[in-house]
Amino acid sequence: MGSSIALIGAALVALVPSSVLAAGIAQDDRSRAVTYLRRVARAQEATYSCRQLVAYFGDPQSAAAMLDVRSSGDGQFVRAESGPATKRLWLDESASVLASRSSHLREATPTAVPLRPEEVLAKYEVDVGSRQRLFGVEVVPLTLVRRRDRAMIEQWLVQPRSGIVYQRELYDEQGKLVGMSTITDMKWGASAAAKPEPIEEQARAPSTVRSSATDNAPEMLPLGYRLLRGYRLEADGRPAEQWVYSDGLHALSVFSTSGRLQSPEGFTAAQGADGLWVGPGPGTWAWEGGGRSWMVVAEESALDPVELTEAFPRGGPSFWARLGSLWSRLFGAIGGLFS
Amino acid sequence: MSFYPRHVEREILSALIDGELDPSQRREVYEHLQECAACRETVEEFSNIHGLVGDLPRLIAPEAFVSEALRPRDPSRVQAATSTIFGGRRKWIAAGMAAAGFAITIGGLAAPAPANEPPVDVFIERHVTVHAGVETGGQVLFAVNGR
Repeated sequence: MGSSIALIGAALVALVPSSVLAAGIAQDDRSRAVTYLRRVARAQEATYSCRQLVAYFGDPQSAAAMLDVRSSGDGQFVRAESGPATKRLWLDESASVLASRSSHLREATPTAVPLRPEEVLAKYEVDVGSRQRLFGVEVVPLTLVRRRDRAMIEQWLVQPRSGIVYQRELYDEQGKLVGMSTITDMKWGASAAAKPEPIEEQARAPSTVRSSATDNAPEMLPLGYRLLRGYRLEADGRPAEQWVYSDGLHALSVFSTSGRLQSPEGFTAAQGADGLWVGPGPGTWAWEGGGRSWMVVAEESALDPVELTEAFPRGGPSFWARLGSLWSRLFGAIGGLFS
Repeated sequence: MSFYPRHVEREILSALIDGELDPSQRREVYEHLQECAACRETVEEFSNIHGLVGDLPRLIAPEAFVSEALRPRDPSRVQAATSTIFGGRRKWIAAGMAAAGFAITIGGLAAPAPANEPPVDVFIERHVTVHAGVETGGQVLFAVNGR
């Protein structure tokens, strides 16, 4: 977008003051971008059902799943199947329920993270392409370039009428495709978006997610991530805290829980960052600090984990704490031997 | 109109899931998937295979197994050895115990302490719940993780 503005400005520099012209075009581009971002934010008002293929091309692991998505005024339902694992998510005004093999969480007052066009445009240059026909519908390409490093982070194909993102591709800072989602079978209308069976009928009782204070959480993280709220939940029988941040487009969660972190399964040691582990997904890192285990789950690709996590406690317990713990365990073991 | 007259080859659909197609190829396959239920089923099958591979158990010895392997099997043998040592050569006992304590301390500090793994799956799934509110309309990009 920036280069096209410069070219047009150079060609017409003899006719009008270039600054006035560039500002006018930039304003026009910006307003178009705001228009489409607002439509995407309102996509939940649409009534439809679709199949959606999602894939993440990760190192060391990739993942793919086919989603069954239903959206109407009653709420949104997503069922994801990948191998034997099935995850179901039901969101409406009164509750959100998540059920899978590993978790069953219920939140009585769900509050979605809103898409905020102004914040998106502060962080990204959003290039709106010309309309084209794809997937049997008219779509508009949107390209998101991060202003800080000029890295193209995302490309979307948005249906202008509904704001539905038909296709979304994520890239790393080298421009390599790292994730994508595409709608493969769209059906419009209330009959298509039949209400699914309630998730609560599962045998396992859900853990309740509650709002919590965020006194200890940093207000801002790098790259424009602003603290929105905190939650308290139970994960695998352990109490955990979640702090939710957003840059206006992506959500980023910081989880902390008791217990030490050694070599979490499915994670690899981050290069150039002692004690930081890289997990599945575009931005999943774990570390230990302040006597707790920490984990970040971010959707935005091309994030610098060291920069992003420096606001949180890092490092294991002190030498003396480890020594005390060791001898405590040793005496316990000796006591067990003679008892 | 779709680039593919009939069905997309399975290798190409597999390459799509693996992120190995170039942008123009991806676009052609995306368009074909809109029209072809059979190819959608194949893609679904491949995405399930991805999930199956991700669900394969990793062969990591549990901590309990390691502790069991390191634990003396027969307490009576330990007692017999202890009584032998305490039976004579007292001067070596103190030095031996001090050395053992030192070795255990150094070894214990160097060895990994017991750890609790963070419940990664639960955290990622919980994040998806919040994130679904960002993308709206259930347009969740990463509802699955690679585990």
